[in-house]
Amino acid sequence: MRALATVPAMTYLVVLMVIPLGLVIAYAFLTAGRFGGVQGPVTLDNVTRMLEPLYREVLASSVFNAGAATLIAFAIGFPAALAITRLPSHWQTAALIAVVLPFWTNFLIRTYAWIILLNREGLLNDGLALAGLGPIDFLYTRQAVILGLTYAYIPLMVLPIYASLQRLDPQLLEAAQNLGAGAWRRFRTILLPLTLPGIITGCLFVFIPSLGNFVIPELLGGGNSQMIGNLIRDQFLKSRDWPFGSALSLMVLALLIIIVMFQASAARRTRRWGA
Amino acid sequence: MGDSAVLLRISDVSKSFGEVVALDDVSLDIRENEFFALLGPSGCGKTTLLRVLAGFEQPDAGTVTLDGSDLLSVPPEKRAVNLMFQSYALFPHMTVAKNVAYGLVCEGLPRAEITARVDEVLDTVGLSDKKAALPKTLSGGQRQRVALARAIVKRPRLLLLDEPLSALDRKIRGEMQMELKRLQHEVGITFVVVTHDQDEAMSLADRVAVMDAGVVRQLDAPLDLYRRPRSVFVADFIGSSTILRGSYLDGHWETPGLPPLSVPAECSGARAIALRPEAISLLSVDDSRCRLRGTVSEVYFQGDHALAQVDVDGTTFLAAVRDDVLPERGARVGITWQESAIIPLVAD
Ligand SMILES: Nc1ncnc2c1ncn2[C@@H]1O[C@H](COP(=O)(O)OP(=O)(O)OP(=O)(O)O)[C@@H](O)[C@H]1O
Ligand SMILES: [Mg+2]
Repeated sequence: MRALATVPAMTYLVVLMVIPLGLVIAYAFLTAGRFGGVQGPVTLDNVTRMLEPLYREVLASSVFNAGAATLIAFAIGFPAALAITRLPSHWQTAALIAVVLPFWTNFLIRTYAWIILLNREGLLNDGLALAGLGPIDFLYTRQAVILGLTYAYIPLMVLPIYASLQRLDPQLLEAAQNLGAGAWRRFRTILLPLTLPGIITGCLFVFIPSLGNFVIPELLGGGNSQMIGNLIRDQFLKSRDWPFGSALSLMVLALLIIIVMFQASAARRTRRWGA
Repeated sequence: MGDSAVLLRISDVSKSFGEVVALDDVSLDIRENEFFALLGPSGCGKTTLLRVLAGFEQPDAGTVTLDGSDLLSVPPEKRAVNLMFQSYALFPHMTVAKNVAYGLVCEGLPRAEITARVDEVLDTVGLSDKKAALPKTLSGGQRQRVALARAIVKRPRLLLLDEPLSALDRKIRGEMQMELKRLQHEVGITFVVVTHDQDEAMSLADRVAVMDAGVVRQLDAPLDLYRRPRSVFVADFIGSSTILRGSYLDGHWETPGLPPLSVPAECSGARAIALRPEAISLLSVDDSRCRLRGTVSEVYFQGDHALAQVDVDGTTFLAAVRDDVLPERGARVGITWQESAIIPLVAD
């Protein structure tokens, strides 16, 4: 009876996790077929090829872009979340809706909007022209990619941090202040450590989809800001090199697993403190 | 009253939250090394007053001086005033030792001095063996002592305690009350304790301010509060008593439903008169000394004595009786009192 009850969950896992993952792992050690697909023999070529400078550079640049987006999202998201918790409660709901509102509109449309803002004849350059400056090439730069990633995922930073801040007893901050702690010390010794679970979650929520994103680098970065997501997509859709694409996917996956394990250990530590 | 040095002077402080007047023109002097209690029913503004002193609320009007210099313009983190929160507000991610050291670290003291002072204060509150423990592993009484240690280690001029004992059960509470009192003598810091428990205020404090709806109704030593309440509110709030509203006429007190009662002249102009239970004695009905006669309607046991409720034509009198001469419920009895025990209450 017990065993029977786990069938739906097991089916779900096998169909959506085990089989696709198994395929990716298997493909990574096979040779590319001429028109896509895979064929023998079994090889380590795909793995060694990933270590070539060209691909290492793309990976490093992707980690840099995703990391920068994560940092900026934190630098903006944390104060934003803090400001929201200080609002009267009905305004808090309104502010949170405003934060997630962009999520309900089409992702592509939002990204195109940035093109309109940033391009040489765009609104930003119009503004600069009024001030007698510019034009500046904002679009098709690494900065534009980082901006796009930050913009796309910042709600995922704000929400978990907001949840953490909500759970924080405001009296702890007053107690710290009463004991002589100035604003910076209160932030560093009370606010930051006690909202760390939310901060780490928010950072993962921004970093993970940023790392694998290929739409934003393409639209805002043009051809010259390839990220690992573009590379993987190209292997499947353009070069028809499924095994190499699989190997790259596995590498990204491994990277993310390491990060998530780090997050789990940090979360365990904060749970010890109790409520 | 003979004044020892005034440490804290609160003058005409008012504070409203929208429509709610939390503090209404409060003036108090708190003396050096005094154990001062703020007593009053829930919502009367006790916490608000402490928060004004700690700097977390700015009053709408009034001034506060500490040691003669203005306190209100000093930011909260710079005030020589420490607050022990009702919920203790211990930092959950820090050990007991780190919690206690926090205020000293903020002062930037050398590490050796911090360690020494933390050890010393933890010794004082009897928690030396819990230094490395996290707050959530402590019992309620232990947490309370950590919170206290964290506040006194700073050696503030003034220590504010917001219902420090309300989260504890009755037995530990009694122990902690004695410990608080001992600590206050030992560390020589002025304590202001907020409570809505009259027994706590009466047993701990040198002086008690009784508050009601943002107003200080009376400020006195505990015994004077009990013996000489000046208003119906205070007589009613502190201890139990029989309160007779009415008016003074020619050496008599006229109360609806009762014959005129002979009272001292100082009762002229009073709103009501009060009698403490121990001032009223029970007599047999046919005793000629009886001032009034009635029926015992209820008897409450209070340990070493009991309170008898005597109904006299619809007016209830409370009399303290010894355990060995308990009246029966329903018995007809007579009551009397010393005229000098009558307390005039000049205000509502
Ligand atoms: N931040 C606030 N916003 C609005 N009203 C408040 C605020 N703080 C206190 N009040 C109101 O002010 C009044 C006094 O509150 P206060 O907390 O000082 O009472 P208290 O005497 O400490 O009561 P208790 O014994 O229940 O703790 C109450 O009516 C309360 O509702
Ligand atoms: Mg209170």
